[in-house]
Amino acid sequence: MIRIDQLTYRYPGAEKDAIQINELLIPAGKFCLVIGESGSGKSTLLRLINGLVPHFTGGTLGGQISVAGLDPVKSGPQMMSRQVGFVFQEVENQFVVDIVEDEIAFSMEQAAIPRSEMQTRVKQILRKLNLENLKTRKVDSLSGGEIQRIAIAAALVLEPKILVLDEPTSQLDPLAAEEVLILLKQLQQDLGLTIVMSEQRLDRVLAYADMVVILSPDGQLREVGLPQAVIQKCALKPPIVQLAEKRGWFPVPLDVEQARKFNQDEKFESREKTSFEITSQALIEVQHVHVNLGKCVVLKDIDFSLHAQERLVLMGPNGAGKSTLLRTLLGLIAPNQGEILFKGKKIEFEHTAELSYNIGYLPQDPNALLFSETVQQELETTLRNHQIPVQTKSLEHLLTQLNIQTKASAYPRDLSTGEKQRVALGAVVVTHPEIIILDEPTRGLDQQTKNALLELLLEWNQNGKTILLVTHEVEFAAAFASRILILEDGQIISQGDPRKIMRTHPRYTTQIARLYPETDWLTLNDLPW
Amino acid sequence: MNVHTYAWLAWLISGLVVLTTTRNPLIILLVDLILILFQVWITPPSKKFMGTTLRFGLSVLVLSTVLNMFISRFGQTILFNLPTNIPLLGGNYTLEALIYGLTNGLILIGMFTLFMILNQVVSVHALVRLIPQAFHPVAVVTTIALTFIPASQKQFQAIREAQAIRGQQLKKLRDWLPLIIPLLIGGLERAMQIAEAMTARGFTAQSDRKIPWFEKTLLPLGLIFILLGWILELSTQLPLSGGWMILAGLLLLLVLFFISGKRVNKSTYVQEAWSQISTWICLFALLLILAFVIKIPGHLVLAYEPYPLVQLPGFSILHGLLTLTLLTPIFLLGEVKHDQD
Repeated sequence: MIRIDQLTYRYPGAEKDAIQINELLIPAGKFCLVIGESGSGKSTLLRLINGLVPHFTGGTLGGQISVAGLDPVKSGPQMMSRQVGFVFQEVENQFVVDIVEDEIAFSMEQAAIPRSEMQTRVKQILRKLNLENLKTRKVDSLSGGEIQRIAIAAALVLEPKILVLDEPTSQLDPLAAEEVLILLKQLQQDLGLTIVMSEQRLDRVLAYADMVVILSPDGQLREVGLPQAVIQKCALKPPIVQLAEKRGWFPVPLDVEQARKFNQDEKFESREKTSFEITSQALIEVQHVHVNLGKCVVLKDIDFSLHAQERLVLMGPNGAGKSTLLRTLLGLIAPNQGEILFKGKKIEFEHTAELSYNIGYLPQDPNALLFSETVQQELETTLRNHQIPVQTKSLEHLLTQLNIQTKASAYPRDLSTGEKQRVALGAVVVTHPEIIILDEPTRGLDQQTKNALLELLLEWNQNGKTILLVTHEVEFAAAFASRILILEDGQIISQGDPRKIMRTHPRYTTQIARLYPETDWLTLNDLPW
Repeated sequence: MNVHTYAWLAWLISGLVVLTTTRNPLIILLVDLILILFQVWITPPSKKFMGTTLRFGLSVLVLSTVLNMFISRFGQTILFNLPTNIPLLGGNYTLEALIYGLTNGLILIGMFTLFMILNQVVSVHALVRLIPQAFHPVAVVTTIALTFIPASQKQFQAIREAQAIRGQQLKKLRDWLPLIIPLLIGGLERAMQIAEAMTARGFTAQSDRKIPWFEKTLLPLGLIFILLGWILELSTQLPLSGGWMILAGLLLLLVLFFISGKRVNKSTYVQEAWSQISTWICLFALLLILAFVIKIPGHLVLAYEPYPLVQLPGFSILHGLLTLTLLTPIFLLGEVKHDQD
């Protein structure tokens, strides 16, 4: 279905090739997973399949690529749209019109499909994806999972042979992500679709793939083959694969279900339960807070404290009110009822700009924070806003901690996703706040960058920082949290020791915990081997 | 709502005609109240409406009134004065200028509310579908522009918050600069993303048919006719000497649009059905337009002028009653279904 031969591609003005693939064949009807670090050329490869690269980007292309018997370079993305459906990473930015059915019909209108045929297809695709009730809804009123499904429907309505998806689950909570992956697998089987998907969260997607392509950081094809074979050569393996290697399980299981047949005879006793008690001083106290946005109730009776040197992780489905809660803590949203105290003082009379001296807050999109000419200036601006003198040594130390010391004079918006994230983090912690609050800091990061971030946050916590973060990544949460708080439908439904919480809420649990439900193990570090 | 987009456009035009053909503050105030009532009716209960609208309305009123008082120093009812040696600000401030400015503000509020209502009752796509096929690329660019506005508003809010959490307080004009740069860059990035998504979904797939020579000549020919006609109109005293040429030029352009539209290989998903309600809305809109452009009893009060000495504006009950026809959609539709949030 997709054949690549001696393919090289270089972006305009770039010094080296973004992609160098000698040979790659993706057979028809396969679910192909493309993995690699940030900047390894995953998105470029996906865009080469439908001709967006080089048609949209320009640049220099060498070699050959054939997709469904066509040359995307000669045919162009408009013609390729009949063969290749494409779902972009920031899916909300790909919507052109405001109503769901109009959005799905957009590509058919461009292809001059007769009206009656369009109406039939819209009906069919909505039924197939179980979206019939959303037909006349406004796109901006949908949840994250619904938006992703609409984007898939819009990509499939032209009945393409190939569906390409660029990190489709990166913004979804575990359950919504699983629903999308199950849907894709069903579509592959029912329609005989060839699916090519890039993804960072291997623990989620590996079991769904029929073949895996690994790209090296310089854009070369490092490995290609069956997931069981290829994943062993991958530097960043999901926990279940790492466990299989340790225990010598073969063939390598790709998910918990496959791993269960290896451990069904193993019996383990739970370690002695450690009592969960917080003794440190409460820095932030949230007392019976209610928040309405318009007439929509977003937070209901939220009551919890954030204690000194704690590592509190806030989890919950898309749309549960997590980001609203964080913004309320910073005074960006005023509660309709209840109070928030910082070190015993009400924050309602303090401006966010003043609070930010003691509470560093990193929002979901780091781009909103970046506007200076250089990384160094980005950090200096925050200091100037707080009227703090700039100390070069202190700045250098922070840049080194964030591993962006070599980028000090670079333009922040030209950096990779992980680097931008760290610059934005630097810009909010440069005042050395007591508390650091992060909203989905792992979004869009590759595994290596996530690990580096985890280490940095743990180090800061050991040095006295109190950290509160929101994440959908259970493995990251398990490795980091000293306490977990679950927010659903605007209410705290559970909070406490991660071992207890992850056991009582299967939606928010790790692969290791699911494999050994009788123990209190969460991560590989908890295992006795 | 079962109302055709053309009917909504007729309703919009009737409202605009009313607001632009009268300077009577009482009638304009009545129209504003009717439109605000209309907007309350169509706004979902979950959306903030009254607070935002009132704040906006009040700021428009204050701004237009103060601005007019500064600019216009005419009128006989002096409220206060500043020494004439103060540059720009010195001189009399009159009640007449205040009333005139206030009327301007009321007209602006009315127009803004009209478009707000249209934006809520007609989808972007329905509006864009009205653009002729020949302008298909223009239509889609318009779509993007229209969907871009709410996205930019959200982004502006996100950036404002992001700067606040870096200790930035917006006290001086200079403090707004850090907001503008990320907003512009973010806007460009988003425009690129939409353009890329549209290309991937087949937008601007051109037909292979070559444009015939006569079609290529239609545009320059039409423009030449219009230009020559215009020059003739300006340079000769004879009635309609250039008018025929302008008309011919416009006809040529129409032919061009028709032929080009036929060449665009595209279909539309929805063909709106014309309903009886739409007919009634159009008829009432026409009635309202006629009432305000034709001299019917009471038309003299429409041309209210506060200068040189302010007097109480008159009120025509007939015109007042006819402005109530702006509420026709409410009476005919009964209730509105709000999109879920």
